[in-house]
Amino acid sequence: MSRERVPDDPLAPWHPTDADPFDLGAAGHLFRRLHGGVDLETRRRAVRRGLRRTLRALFDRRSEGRSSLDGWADVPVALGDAAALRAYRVWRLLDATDPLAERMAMFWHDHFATSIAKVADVGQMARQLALFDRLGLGSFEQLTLAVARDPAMIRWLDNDSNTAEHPNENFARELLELFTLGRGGGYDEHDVREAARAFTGFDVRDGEFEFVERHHDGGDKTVLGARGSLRGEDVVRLAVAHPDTHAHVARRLLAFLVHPEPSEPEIEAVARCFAAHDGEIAPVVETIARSRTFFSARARRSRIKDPLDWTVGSARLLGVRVPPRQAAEAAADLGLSIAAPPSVEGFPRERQWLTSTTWLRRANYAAEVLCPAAAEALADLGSTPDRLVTTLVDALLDGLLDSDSTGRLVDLARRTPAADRVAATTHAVLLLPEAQLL
Amino acid sequence: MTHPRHSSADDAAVSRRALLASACIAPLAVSSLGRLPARILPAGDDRTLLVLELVGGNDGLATVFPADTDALFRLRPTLARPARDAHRLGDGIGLHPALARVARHYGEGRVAIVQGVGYEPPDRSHFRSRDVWHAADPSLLRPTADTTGWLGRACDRLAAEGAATPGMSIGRIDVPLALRGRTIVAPAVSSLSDYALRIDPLGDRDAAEELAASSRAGANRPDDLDRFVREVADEALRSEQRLKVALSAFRPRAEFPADAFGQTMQLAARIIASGFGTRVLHAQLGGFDTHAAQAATHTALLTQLDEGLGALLDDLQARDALARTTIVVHSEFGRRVAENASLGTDHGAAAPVFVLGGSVRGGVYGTAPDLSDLDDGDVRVTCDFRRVYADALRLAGMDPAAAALAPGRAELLAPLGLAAATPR
Repeated sequence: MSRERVPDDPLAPWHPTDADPFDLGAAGHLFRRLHGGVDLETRRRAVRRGLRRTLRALFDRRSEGRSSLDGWADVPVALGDAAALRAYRVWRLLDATDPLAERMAMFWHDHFATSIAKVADVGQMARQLALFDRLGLGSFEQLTLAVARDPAMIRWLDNDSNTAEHPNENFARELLELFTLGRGGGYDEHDVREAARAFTGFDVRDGEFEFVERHHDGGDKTVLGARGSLRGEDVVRLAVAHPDTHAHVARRLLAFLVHPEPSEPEIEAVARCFAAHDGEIAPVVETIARSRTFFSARARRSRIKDPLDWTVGSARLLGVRVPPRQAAEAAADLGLSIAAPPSVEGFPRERQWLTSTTWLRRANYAAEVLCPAAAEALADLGSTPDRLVTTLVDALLDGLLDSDSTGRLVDLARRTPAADRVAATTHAVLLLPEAQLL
Repeated sequence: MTHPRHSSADDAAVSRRALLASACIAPLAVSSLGRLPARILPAGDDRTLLVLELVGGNDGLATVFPADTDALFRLRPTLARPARDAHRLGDGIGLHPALARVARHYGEGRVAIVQGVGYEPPDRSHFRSRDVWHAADPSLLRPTADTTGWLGRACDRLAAEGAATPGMSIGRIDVPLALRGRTIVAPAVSSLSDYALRIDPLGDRDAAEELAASSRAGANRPDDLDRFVREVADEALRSEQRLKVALSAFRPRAEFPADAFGQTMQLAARIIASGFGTRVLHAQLGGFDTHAAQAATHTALLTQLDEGLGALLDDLQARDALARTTIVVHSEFGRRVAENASLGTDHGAAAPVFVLGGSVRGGVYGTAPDLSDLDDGDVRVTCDFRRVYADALRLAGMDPAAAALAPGRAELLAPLGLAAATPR
């Protein structure tokens, strides 16, 4: 960040101007992408304080992944109930003690996608998610090492049956294809087979990671050009240090934070930044969030809200409370069942989220959960249709709606009986196409 | 960012409708169903293509047993066992015992089995291989927002010819890459029971047809994200209303299993029987990634497949709709020939593809797997998958060229001759 940047550096810091100010739209973008949204008052205050102070406050994370709800973490585990675990994770997202850490935990859950469908152990799934809370903004190497030794992951990708005698390639293959170098990266089938040998002996005993020496293949292996009596940890270090991994993580971070299809120069810049920070994730996220690429017109509203953005994020934008269990179940009905991604490739992404069925379900969730909550929280505005529309359009769309449509919303609000006004107008705004965009 | 405008937006008298039209605010149940678009029955061709994807990599050698059983038992001592009780297809080839209904339809001459199907070079990653099969593009590395699927491209053509809802994903809430087109946005219908806008906080019920009929042209993003969202909403509102009407009269003519796959097959029967006008359907059955203890799992999966698919075939046959139906059953790859230490199989290459329907000329096609000449332990690819796609499209009355299966390489798409002289 201190580095001098050439003018066409995609990661050059953004400096607001009169023509391109840090306004409600920019603040809304920043908080949606980094925090999953925040209530309107907080965003208005951020605009008043300006970009510099807003960013400083945003990255002054004293809680470091801890949540005020940490004390409840054992409850779903004691219940052995996956639905309770989902509700707990959604509760954390709603509570948002450290909203950036919560959001990054969901990002890594998607990246290292593991499902309870096979792991069949709520406690192990809860522990894996807690690992992302703890390490999600730390070193990518430490994170990947922890994942390689994580009991849920070991079960999920069959490393518990990967032995010197009968190697199982499942974890090694996904480590290279999905977690580090990425599809099309600089590895081949030979690397997969040799890497699998290196991970032999990574096992689980009594619910804990254990390296079982007698199952480990201690012979020489060649992985990604390095030769020796490699162990799993060595393969993780080799894979994480590979330039293709920097580019792969850069692409994923950019797609998550900025734009679903980042350009090559953007990927290269973030990959360089990642390498320059020795694979530390927090400074990369911060550099991206301060950049002009992040605030560019191309980035804004360029993503489709995922089910948690819709169920939890909309509640946060409206500043209303929704029951965590109901929001978690709704997100699952929309395709994002926490701790149960459809495959190791992760959850659907972007346009895959939005189909005729999920659009109808999003509308139904809005009508059944968000609108009644808004009717309660915004009851004061029920008597002033004009202010109601302004507030809702500011809260849900950063105030960005053309005047004709806004005028028609006002018309609708005025014509609706006062008792239904807030709910009906909230529904109307939530069904605008723009409301589906992040 | 400005909001795209509906062309009649400046008509103050219909400002409410214009708002609905331009902003796609949901209407609710339509009280006057008679005013729905009249195009419930298709104007012309009503042939339908159902693509059924077995996700995870179905073991082709445990689905269709080759004649060379000595080699089979040598390489897979436990997994070859069901071959002893196989349904005999002739020439020593056997069909897994669980596929009783499929075997019956084979005996009646409406099941084609194409052997050795895949692409070169085979990719043993589920994700990449599924993308290849869906896009019908073996060179595809990573799909982007612009990547289209073979069925989506075929549907683009049907839409250009006037079809309202040419393609549909059934039994799931998502639309697979195969059904992604350049212009169409295919609906996903997981089940009819919850395919509905349940609540109307607006209490306004008269704007539905306006909305369904309105054009939502215009986009203010270069990546046409706005248009996409509008199309999805529009398709949801339109198909929700039309499906209710079109499918309400359905009475099953076969016993469909109560499980999710059986119900998806029943939904396929409803759509085909109704003349709804959708000519391309895509469904999935998952769980075929049998790395360990394969025998029991695979038998259960094939039983589920046989019961659901069999019910669909029986139902359509009973209502004389099978002659205009073509069903393709494929997977992203076959499995390793040798069984592994966990009594399962790892990812392989070529596998047989099934093409079923009343206009199909039944039989076994292509080159039998040669277990003495393997590709890195896998069955060699002897038939490019796009050749099967091309025949399936022709059977369903669609132009393979519209699906752009192998641009500039017509030799890949030489007909396999799967079409029967007379429907049966």
